[in-house]
Amino acid sequence: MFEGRYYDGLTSRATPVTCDIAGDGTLAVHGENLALQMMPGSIEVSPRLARTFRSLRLPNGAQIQTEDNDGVDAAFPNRNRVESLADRLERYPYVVAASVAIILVAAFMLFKIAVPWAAERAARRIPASVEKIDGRPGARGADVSRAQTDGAR
Amino acid sequence: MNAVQETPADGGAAEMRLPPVETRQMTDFSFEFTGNATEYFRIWIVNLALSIVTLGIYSAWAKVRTQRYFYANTRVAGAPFEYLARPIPILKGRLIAFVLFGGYVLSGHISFRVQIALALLIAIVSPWLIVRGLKFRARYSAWRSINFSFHGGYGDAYVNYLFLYVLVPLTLFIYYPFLKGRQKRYVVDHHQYGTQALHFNALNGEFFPPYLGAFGMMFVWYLMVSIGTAMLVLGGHNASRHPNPTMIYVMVVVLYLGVFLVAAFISARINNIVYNNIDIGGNRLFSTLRARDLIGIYTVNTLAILCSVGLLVPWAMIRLARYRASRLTLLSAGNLDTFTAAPTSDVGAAGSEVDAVFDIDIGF
Repeated sequence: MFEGRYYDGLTSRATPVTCDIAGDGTLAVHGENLALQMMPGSIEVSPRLARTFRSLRLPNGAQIQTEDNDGVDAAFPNRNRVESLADRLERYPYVVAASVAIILVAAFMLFKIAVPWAAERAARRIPASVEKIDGRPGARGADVSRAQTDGAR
Repeated sequence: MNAVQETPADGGAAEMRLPPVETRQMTDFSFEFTGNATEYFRIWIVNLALSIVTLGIYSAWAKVRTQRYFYANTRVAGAPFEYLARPIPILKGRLIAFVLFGGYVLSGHISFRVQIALALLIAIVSPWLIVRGLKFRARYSAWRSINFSFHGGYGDAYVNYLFLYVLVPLTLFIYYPFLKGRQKRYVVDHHQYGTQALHFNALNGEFFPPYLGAFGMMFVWYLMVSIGTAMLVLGGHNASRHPNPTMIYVMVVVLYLGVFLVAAFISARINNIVYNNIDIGGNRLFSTLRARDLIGIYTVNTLAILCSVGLLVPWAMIRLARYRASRLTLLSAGNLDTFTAAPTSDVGAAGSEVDAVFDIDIGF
C-alpha cells in the first residue's frame, strides 16, 4: 500500500489517495469522492530514480504521483528493466567506484592515445606550404622566449 | 507561503521590483531545489561510464535520467516538475545530430567550400531547429500533471532568428538588445501551460540597459587590460619588439576573465527581465538573480571542476540549480488547481538534439 496525489488528467487539482493491490491483483485507488480499480498491466509506471517521485499513468488519462518508491516497486515488480538496472547500479558503491575507474582510464586513453593519433593524422594532411606559413609566429615566439631565457642566465 | 502585495519581500534583492500590472493580493510560493550532490554524483558517474561502455548509445537514457532528476527535484507550491521524454526518440534525434555534425566535420577534409556550404545550411535551418527544440522541451515538461506546449510558427522564427540579424551590423549593434527582446517575446508568448497561454509584458527596450551596461563594462575592461599590457611591454626591463609569450597568455586569460564576468552579469539581468515579465493567467514569476552571486558560483564551480579533474561537475550543477531555484518565486493570483489540460501529441527529438550539438541558444 502506498499514498500519493491523484490528478484527473483534466485539471491541476491534486487529490490525496491511497493505493493498494487488492486480493484479485487489481490496483485499488481510494480518495475523497474517488474509488477506482484497474489492472496493474494497464498502468504505465515511471522508472525509479534516486529519491524522486514516481508517476503512475492510468488508462483514463489520470496520474498518481508518489514518493513511496518501495511501495511502487512492490506493487509493480519487473517494470522498466533498463532503468531499474541503472538505478540498482547507482546504489552500489563499488559500481560507482568502477565507474570512476572507467572514466579515468577512458580519459587517460583519450589524451595518451587518441589525441596524439588524431594529431599525427591531421599533421600528415597539412601541406608543407601551409605548415611553413602557420609555423612562423610560433617559431618566432619560441626564439624570443629562448633568447630571453638565455639573456637572463 | 505568504500573502504579499505584488512585490514580495526579499532581503538580498531590494532593488528588484516587478513591473506594475495592477494592485491585487497575491500569494507567493518560493521555488526550491531538493537534489543533493552525493545522490546526483552516483547518477552522473554511472551515466557517464555506461555511455562510454555502450559507445554513446546509453547517453539518451542518461539524458532522460539527468533531466528527470533535475525536474523532479525542482518544486513550487509543494508540487514537483516532471520530465516526460523517452530515451528512444532522443537516441534517434542524437543519431541525426551525430550524422549532421559528423558530415560537417568530415566535409572540411573534402573541401573548405563544402564545409562553408554546410555551415550556411545549418544556419538557414537553425530557426526551424529552434522551433522543434522548443516544441519538444515544452511538450515533455509538466507540472501538476499538466503539460506545457509551444505553438510558435516557423515564419516568425525565421524573422526573429535569421532575417532581423541583418539589422544588427547595419545599426552598429544598437538593434541587438531589441532583437533579443523580440526573441524572448516570441518564445514566451507562444508557450502554453495546459490551455493557459503565457504572456510577456516586457518592452523590447527594457533589454537595452543591460546590454549597454555589458558593452560599457567590456569596453572598460579591454581598455584597462590593453593599457596595462602596453605599460608592461613598453616600460619593462626587457622592452623589445617582441613581447614575452607568457605575458601574451596572461593577457588572453585576463581578457577571457572579463568575458566571463560580463556573461554572468548579462545572464542574471536578462533572466530577471524575462521571468519578471511572464504572466500565466494572472499568476506571475519573480526572479532575483544577482550577477555577483552568479560570478561567485561560476568561479568556485570552475575551480572545483578543474581541481577535481571534472569529478565535481555534479556538485557544481546541484549548487547552481539550488541557487537559481532559491531566487525564483511564483506569485499566485488565485487558485492553482484550476488550470486545465490541453490535448497533446508526440514531438520528435531531432530539433532538440541538433540544437544541443550545434549549441544553438533556445529557451527562456
